[in-house]
Amino acid sequence: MGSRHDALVNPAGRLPQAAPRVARVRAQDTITWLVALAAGLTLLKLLLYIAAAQPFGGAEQALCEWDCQWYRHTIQNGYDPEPRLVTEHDFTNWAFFPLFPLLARALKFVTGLSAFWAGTAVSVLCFIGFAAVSLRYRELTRGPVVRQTSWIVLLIVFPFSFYFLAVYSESTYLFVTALLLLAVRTDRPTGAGVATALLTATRPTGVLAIPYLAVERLWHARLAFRPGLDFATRMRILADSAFPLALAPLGIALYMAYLYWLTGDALAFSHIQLAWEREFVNPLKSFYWGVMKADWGALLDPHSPQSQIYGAMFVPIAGITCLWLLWRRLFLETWLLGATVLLALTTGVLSMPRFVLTNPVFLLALGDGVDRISSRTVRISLAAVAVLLQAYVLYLWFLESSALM
Amino acid sequence: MLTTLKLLAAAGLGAAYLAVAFMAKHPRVDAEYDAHYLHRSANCWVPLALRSGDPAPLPPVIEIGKIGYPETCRFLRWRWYYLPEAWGAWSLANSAKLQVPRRPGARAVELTVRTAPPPNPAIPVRFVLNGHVTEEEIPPGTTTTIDFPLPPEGEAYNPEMNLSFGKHGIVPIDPSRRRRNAPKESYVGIGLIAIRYLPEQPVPAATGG
Repeated sequence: MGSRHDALVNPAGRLPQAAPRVARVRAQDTITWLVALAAGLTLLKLLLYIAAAQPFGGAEQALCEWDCQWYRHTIQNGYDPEPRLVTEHDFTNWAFFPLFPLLARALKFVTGLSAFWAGTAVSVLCFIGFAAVSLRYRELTRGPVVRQTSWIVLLIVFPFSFYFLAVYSESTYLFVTALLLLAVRTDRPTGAGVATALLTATRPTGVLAIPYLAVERLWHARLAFRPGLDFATRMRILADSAFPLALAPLGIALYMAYLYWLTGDALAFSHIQLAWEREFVNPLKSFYWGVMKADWGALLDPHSPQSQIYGAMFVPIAGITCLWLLWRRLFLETWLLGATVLLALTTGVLSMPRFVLTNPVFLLALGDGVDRISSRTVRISLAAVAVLLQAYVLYLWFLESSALM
Repeated sequence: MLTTLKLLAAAGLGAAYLAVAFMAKHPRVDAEYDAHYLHRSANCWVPLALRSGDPAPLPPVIEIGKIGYPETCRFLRWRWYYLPEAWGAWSLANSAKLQVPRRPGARAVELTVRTAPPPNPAIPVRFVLNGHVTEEEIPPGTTTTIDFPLPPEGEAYNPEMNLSFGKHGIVPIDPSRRRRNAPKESYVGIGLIAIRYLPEQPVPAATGG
């Protein structure tokens, strides 16, 4: 799946087939150890968060800010049949896509945990899942020299990584995106179709994976028309092209059918955006308006509206990251980050920092940067600074800072 | 065998997506949903519980400050602060829509409105109800009444009143009512205090001619 060329460019792509069995077993042991490290550090971090939340009203109150309250409500009660007034706006939870709340609701049903802790558990498990899948993916795309331990440390100390333990869909999105990237890289079209279906059930921006898969599968389908093939082979190639592609929109299609049953409007998830005052605007205008606002002062007041220029600032950051990924010929990564930011920009710059900073592709690019720091001392120093920053960002989260919404 | 299954599954899913696309194109919603989300002529949701059953008869005077949400949504349809204050509710700046239902026996309706206090400017307001246009410039800090004729029963009537404001005022938002991440003050058009139904048509002002 588009990996043949990349594998030639990047010798690491051939490693699993070429390496001797002993080396593969050793690599597997290393990955297992690193996943165990990620799991241990994640649980330790969660315990520290819970302890830090005590002076702010306890974990359930202090850790559950902004959209967490919507997810908690959805895990507890399912989707609302009609809007309800929340502080002068008629909101409902239709905008929050179902995969994460469904997983948490299932866990709540099985374990008897509260909605908040079931959501937290799903986030933690998905985050560990992302760590595991991303290790393998980085090995395939970045080569055997990547600093995998540094990658795990980066995921843990990244200042905005508290989102990955929050009752948010960020971790689910991370995990499912990593599954998609790995399926594409390892030439598993049905896996890529399933991962895309899950992605479209996680967030509306999940649909952006469909065009990439469509182009790639249609390109594959052309092989069916080569001369000299028998009928069965042609049919097999067409089936291998059509089936993954048909799977891809399944997540969002099921959600739309459910919303039609619930509200009579299959596009209710989109129409409800009105309550958040999100309406379609030219993305260039969105960016320009954000920059011209020049409201840096809003960052200093946690209760001010989110700073527009702070949000706009992440657009060029994402742009530069995309250029870097494009230069490395990581086309799917480039598309997933660039198109997500562009789509988000069509409704303004609100929440743009979160969309960029918690994007798995942005994290992978950040990992590339860390891989290039050869000095161990510098890497340890940066990790220490990141831990301090994370503590500060967590404090802002407890204060309900609008910069983090 | 697997190839056949894959092709059949792809065809089946394709047909299912067509059905979902048809659903998306043809929503099956009630008038409230349609106004709220599809045509955007209302942004205050009247809950199903309030809409179901026979509506309560309209009183001759509706004091906005004395009815709470969601009852306010039956009147304040577009661009208002729906949680009224004790005196009434502010509209947002630039434009707003008000629903003025017909009341049996009423031949006119009178709105009691107010403007933001000085140093805000006078607000030029254009009211359009059932084709009847009234334009007023209301000085700052003023409470005034504006009358509109209602057609006799049996004649066509559009209860949607469009209001547009040439300028706007600024008022502080009560901190206890502010949603998070909201500004501390708001641009407003006019404040609506009451809707009063009158049994007689208003007498036109003398022209002096």
